[in-house]
Amino acid sequence: MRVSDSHNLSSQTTGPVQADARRKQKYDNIGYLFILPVVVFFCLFFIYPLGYTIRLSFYEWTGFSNDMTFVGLRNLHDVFSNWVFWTAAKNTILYAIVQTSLQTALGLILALVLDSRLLGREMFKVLFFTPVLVSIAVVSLLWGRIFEPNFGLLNGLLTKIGLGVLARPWLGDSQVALFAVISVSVWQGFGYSMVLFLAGLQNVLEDLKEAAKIDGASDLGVIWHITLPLLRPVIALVATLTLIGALKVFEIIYVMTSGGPNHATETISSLLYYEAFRFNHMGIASAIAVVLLIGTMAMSILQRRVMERESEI
Amino acid sequence: MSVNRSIRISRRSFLSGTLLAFAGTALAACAPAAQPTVQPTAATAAPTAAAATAPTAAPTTAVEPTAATESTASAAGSTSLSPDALKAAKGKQKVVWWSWTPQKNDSIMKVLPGITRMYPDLEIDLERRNIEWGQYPQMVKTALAAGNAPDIIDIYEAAVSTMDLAAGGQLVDLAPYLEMDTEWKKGLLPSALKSDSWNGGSHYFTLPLSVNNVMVWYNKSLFEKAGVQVPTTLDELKAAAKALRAQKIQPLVFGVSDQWQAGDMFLTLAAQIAGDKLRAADMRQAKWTDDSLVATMKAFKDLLDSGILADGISGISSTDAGNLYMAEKAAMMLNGSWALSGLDQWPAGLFDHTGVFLFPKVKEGATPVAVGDYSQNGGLWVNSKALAPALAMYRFLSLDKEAQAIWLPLGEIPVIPWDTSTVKDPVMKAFVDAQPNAFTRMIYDSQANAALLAGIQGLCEGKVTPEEVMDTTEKSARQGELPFLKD
Repeated sequence: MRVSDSHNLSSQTTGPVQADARRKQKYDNIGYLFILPVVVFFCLFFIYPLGYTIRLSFYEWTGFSNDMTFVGLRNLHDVFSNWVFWTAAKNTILYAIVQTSLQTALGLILALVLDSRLLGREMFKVLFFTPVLVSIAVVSLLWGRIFEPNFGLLNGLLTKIGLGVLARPWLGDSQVALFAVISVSVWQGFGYSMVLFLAGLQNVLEDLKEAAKIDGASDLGVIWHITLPLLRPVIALVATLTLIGALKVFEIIYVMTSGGPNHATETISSLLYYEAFRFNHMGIASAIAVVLLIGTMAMSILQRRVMERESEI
Repeated sequence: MSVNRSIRISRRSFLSGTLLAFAGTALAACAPAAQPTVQPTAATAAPTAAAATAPTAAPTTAVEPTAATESTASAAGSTSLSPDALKAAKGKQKVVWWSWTPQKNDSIMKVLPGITRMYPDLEIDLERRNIEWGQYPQMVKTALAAGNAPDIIDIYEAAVSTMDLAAGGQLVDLAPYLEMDTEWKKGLLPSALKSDSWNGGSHYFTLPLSVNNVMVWYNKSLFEKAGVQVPTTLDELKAAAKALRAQKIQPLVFGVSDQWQAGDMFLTLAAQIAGDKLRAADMRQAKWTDDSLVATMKAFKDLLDSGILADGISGISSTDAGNLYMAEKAAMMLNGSWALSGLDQWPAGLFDHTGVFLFPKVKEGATPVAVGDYSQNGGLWVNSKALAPALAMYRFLSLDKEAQAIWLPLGEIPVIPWDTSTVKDPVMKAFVDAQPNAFTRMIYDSQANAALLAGIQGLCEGKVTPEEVMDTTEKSARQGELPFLKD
C-alpha cells in the first residue's frame, strides 16, 4: 500500500521537486546519523542507570553481593519514616532557596555594576570569577580554617573589631552551620552567575536605555523598567541552574561538616551518599535518589512556570 | 524505483524511534540482572518478621539474615585451610592484595622474600595494588559484585566494613584454621587479636598485621608553665584544666566536627566505665541504652561541663585539633600512635617536650587503659584461588619478628609481644607498652556508630542529653542478630 502510494506520489511530482526532496531527505538522514552516537551514549549512561536506580529502589542490596531481595515499597517507607531524611529535606530546601536567592541577586548586582564604566572593571571581573575556578575541596578546606573557632580568621577579626560576642564555632553550631556552608557556596558561585548576567547584558540595546533616559528615566529607573525585564530569560536560566545545583549539593557538605553537627547540615545528597557507601544500603539510597530526582524536577518545572508567567505579565 | 528503496526517516519517526530506544533501555535496566539473584526461598520471598513490623525511626533495613547469607557465611568457615595445606604451598605463587595504604608497600615488599624462613619452598609473587582511599571502597565493592576480588582485601572500616563483608559471606572465617594453628593464635597479642574476634573468638574474618592505640599527648613546657603534673585521676585533670585556662591555654583538644576523635574519647571512657558491654551492644547482645553506656556518655558530658575540653570543641576538626596542639595553644590532645608518622609537619623542638599518658582514672576501681585497634588488617576473599599461599604469606608477616619490625618506623605497633627496651623513642615506647592492655577501639555497626558520633556532636553543642544520644543510637543500630553469630 505504501509502495503504491509512493509510486503514485512520484508519478505526480515533477523531476526537480523530487530531486530536492531526495536531497533534503539524504541530508536529514546524515544528520540523524551524526546524533545517533549521542543518543546511544545517553541511553547507556543516563537512561539505563536511571532505570536501574528506580529498580534498585524496590530491592535490598549491599552493592557487592549477588543477593538482591525484592522488598517492594519498604525502602521508601524506611526513608519517609527516618527523621534524618526529613531534617535533610528541610536543609536541602533551605539551602536551595537561600543560595539561589543570594547567588542570583549578588551576581546580578555585580554584573550591573561592572557593566558600567567603572574603573578597573576588567580586573574585578577576573577577581570575582576566580573562586569558580578553585576546586570545591580546596574552597571547603580554606573556609574550614577561616571558620575554626580558636584561631580562625573570622572569630579573630570579630574579636579585633570588638564584636567578640559574635564569635562562635561556626561549623559546630547547629544554629549557624548551614548558613556558614551556604555562604561559602555563594562566595564560590556568584562569579559564575555574574558572567552569565554580563553576557545577557550584551543583548540589552543601548538605544532603549538612551530612549528611556531621554524620556526622563533615572539610572535606577532604566535598570528597573528596561534592563531587568529584558534580562528575565537570563535570570530564569541562572536561577534554574543554581537551584538544581543547590538541590544536589554534596561535596562542600562532605568536606566541611560531613552533615554535622548532629545532622544540622545534612542534605539529601549527603544522606544518600552515607546510605549507599557507608551503610551499604543501595536500595534505600536508590529510593532517596528517586525522591531527589522527582523533587528536583518538580521544583525546576515550578520555577520555570513562575518565571514564564511573570514574563507574560 | 529508487525512491521506493530509499529509507525515509522523518523527524517524527526519528523521535518515535528514540523514545522507543529510551523506553527499551529503561526496561532493560529494570530487567533481572545477569548475576543470579537469590531464589525466592521461604526466607526471602516475603518480608521477614522483622521487616514486616513497623520500621524504626532510624535509617535501618531491619532485615533478619536470609538463608542465603547464612549458608554463604558458614561455607566460608568450612574451607579446607589447615597448617598442612599452608606447608603444601610450594613454588612461585601469585597473590593479589588490595590496599589503601601505599606508604606500607615498600616495607612489605622488602621483607617478603624472608618468607622462606617460615615456608622454605614458597615464593610469593605479590601484586599489592594500592588504591587511593577515596576510590578504595568502590573498587572493592565493584570487584566483589563482579566476582573478581583480590585474594586479600584490606579493611577500610568506614566503608568496606568487616561486618558487612562477613554478613555478605565474602570473607573466609579463619576461626577453624586458628583452632588448628595454635602457634599463630598464641603468638599474637590478645589485645591485637581482640579487635578482630567476633562473639568471644568464635569467628575471625580478618587478622591484624599491625595495631595502634590512642592516648593523651601533652606539652611538657605548657604543663610546667601552668604548674601542673600529669593527672592520674579525673579530679586532677579538672584541676590541671583550670590551671591551664588561667594561663590562657586550652586544656584538652580533639576533633568533634569530623567525629572520629570524639568517638575515641567516648571509647576511652567506655573502656573504664562500660567495659565489655560496649562490644555486646555492638554485637546486638546488649542495648546501647544499658546503664553503663549511658554513664559513659554522662562522663563525656562531665568533661564538657568541667572545662576540660577546649572552647568551641563542637566546631573543631581533627586537623584543627592537631594545629592547636602544634601552635602550643592547647596543652593536651587525644591522638593515636599513627601521629608519629607525621612528625615532619611539627614545629622544630615541639616533639622534644611532648609526652603521652593514659587518660586518667574516671571512677574508683577503674583501670586506665589505651583504646586501640588494628591498623593493617585484611581478610581472605572467600572465592580466592590462592587461599593457602595468601594465608601463608599473612601468617609470615604477622608472626615473623623481622617482618613485624617494619611497623615501628611507620608509627604502628607490632602484633606480637615486643621488647620495648629496644624502642628508643619514649613516646613510641609508651604506646607499645600500653598495647597489651589496650581496650578495643572499634564499633563495627556502622549505623550505630554514625548515630553515636552525630549524637556526641549534639552533646558537645548542649542540644541533646546523654540519654537521648544513647536512645537514638539504640534505635539506629542494626536490628536482629548477625547471621554468623547464630552458630
